[in-house]
Amino acid sequence: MALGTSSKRYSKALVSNSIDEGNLDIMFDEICSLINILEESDDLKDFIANPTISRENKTKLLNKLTDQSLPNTSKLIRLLSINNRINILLDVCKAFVVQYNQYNNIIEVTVTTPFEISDDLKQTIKEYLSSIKEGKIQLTKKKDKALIGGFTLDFDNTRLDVSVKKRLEKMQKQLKATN
Amino acid sequence: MQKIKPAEVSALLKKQLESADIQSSFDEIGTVLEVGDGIARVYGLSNAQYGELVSFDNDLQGMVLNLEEDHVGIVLFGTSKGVKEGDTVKRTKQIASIKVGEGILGRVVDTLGKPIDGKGPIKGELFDMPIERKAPGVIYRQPVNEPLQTGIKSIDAMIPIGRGQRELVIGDRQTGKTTVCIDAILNQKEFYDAGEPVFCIYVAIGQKASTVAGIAKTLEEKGALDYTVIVAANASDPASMQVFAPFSGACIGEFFRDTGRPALIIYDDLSKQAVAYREVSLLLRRPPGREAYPGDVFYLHSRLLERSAKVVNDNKVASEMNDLPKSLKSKVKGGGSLTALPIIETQAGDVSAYIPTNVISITYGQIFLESDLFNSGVRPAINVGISVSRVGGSAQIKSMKKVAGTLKLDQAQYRELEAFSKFGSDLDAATLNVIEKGRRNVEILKQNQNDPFQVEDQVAIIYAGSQNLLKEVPVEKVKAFEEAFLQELRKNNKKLLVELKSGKISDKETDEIKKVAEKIAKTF
Repeated sequence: MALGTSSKRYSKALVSNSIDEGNLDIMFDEICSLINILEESDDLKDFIANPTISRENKTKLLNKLTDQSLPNTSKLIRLLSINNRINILLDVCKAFVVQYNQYNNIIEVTVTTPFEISDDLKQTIKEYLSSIKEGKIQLTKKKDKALIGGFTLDFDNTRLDVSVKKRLEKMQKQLKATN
Repeated sequence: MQKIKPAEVSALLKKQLESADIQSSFDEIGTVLEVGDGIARVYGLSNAQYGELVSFDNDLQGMVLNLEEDHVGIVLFGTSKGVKEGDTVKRTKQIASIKVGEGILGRVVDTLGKPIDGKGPIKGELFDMPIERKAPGVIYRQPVNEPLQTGIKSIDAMIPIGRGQRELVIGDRQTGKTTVCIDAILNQKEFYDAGEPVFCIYVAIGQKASTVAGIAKTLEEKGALDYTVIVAANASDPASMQVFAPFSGACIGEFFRDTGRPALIIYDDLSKQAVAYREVSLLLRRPPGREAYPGDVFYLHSRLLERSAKVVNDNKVASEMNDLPKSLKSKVKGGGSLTALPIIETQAGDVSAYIPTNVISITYGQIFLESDLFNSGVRPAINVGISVSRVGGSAQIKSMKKVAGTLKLDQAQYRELEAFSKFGSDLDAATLNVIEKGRRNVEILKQNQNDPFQVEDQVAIIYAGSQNLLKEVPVEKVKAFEEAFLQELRKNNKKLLVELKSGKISDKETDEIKKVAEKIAKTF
């Protein structure tokens, strides 16, 4: 289960360990790279999820991948491998990002628009968000033509949907209900 | 046909478009992790409350039932088709409720209060009634003191039910449990016609749609649908709908109860509801207990049946009742009642199974129906020996109480002696007398389906039976005697019947009954 209980616990431990060792930011960068590696390659994902491959083999491969470039993550991989939890590696990494953001008071916001947005507009959205939310705003852009117009904002399990698509749906529902 | 003017249509559409509310606001959302078997597990929704309604992308509704550390468990009120992993789920910030008003009478609705009888939307003013609501507290209740006439002789005489009582109807399949309850609904027509209606709610849980349609037709034909609501969660509906159907029925009943009127609710049947609840609970991964039912199956039934009550006859106190829905507050009146007749189906007469014992302990007595009696032609197949009503006696009208006082004892004695008579040994006159009287009383208590008796008729015939006025009438002719006797009373002794109905019974009345009974008995 994505961001399940166990991945949350591993990530909490990892954050706390990194704070103690004073390398939280380095760890964050490494975890982000690991997420990229894991998400880019479907073969690697399948390899890790495959129950017929022994954990020794999985650990060996992951160690080879990360030994040089991502030295700090090897500790995590080793622990997960000992506990036979290597299959939740990606979830632990994602949960770590959430924990890191929480620790640093960063709010991840996704803006979905049907067209590219200009930097000016991005700034306006940022300003609006900082007026209603405390913390550093990190904006991610997403494009979805199905929205037709307007935009949606997603952060902290909250959504503001002011897209034309949603408005049309609402209008359709109300017209159907009255007739 | 009227001519349609395009300009008018456009103007109308424009008006509707202008009034359409398309304002957006921040919504709390979650993401579907997995879905199946009518259950969805959702990540996010960290502020969702227990029992809150949530809506899915495709307008499907669900109810939050499990709040876990990292996800919430939601039961779906519909098919899970169209819900995918990764879909968003929105909080509605509303506790599940249905819209109830006077217009709901005569309708067939589903668990969510939506009409399913094809007669269009429910008309009139509607009030939001929460499906889950706490039962009235101690100070808002009063003891049962008014009878609820079921029209069934053996019940009204020996197992009387009072308004606000909950009386269990229990028995194997095919013993006439539903029939007894439908007859009780039909008997309320007398009060509806007199302008003092007892509103009825029939909740069908996990039944065949054809059975429900049959019941609706019977009620309509007998003119009983005008004061009845049918809540149906059929066998093909999701388990969650079957679990909450009785709660929806209860909140319709509460609408009448809290506006100062009497109501009768029939849950047909709670064993099927328990089975549906077991299904939902196991799918939500709640730990199974005895017979695999979850630990809170007792609470499921106790909180439901606790909602039936006789509300204190004081408008001021009643208006301060706990957990009153806001919309209903201005309409609240005292003196209302909600009587519940839950039905439980036993397997091979086993009343010591988990669910039957639970519901027996919650209710104020039980009406026990037996297949042996049913098959030997005693219908309704009520075993009066083990059926009891713990509080109904105080609600019986005086005349009935006096007349039926000895009936239960007489019948118990008869059953004991009847066993001896089967050996064919010589019996003394006194024993024979008891047996012969008992046989006639059994005949008197037999009753056809959909043929409720008015209370005055019941008092008259039971008096005749208990005083052994039928001793000259052959057992097989008791039914014919009953008919002739009641016809004679209705024709020539109207005043007597009125007196009996009002509860009065003195030597004058009993003498009159005796005279008529003797007169009719001679003709047999």
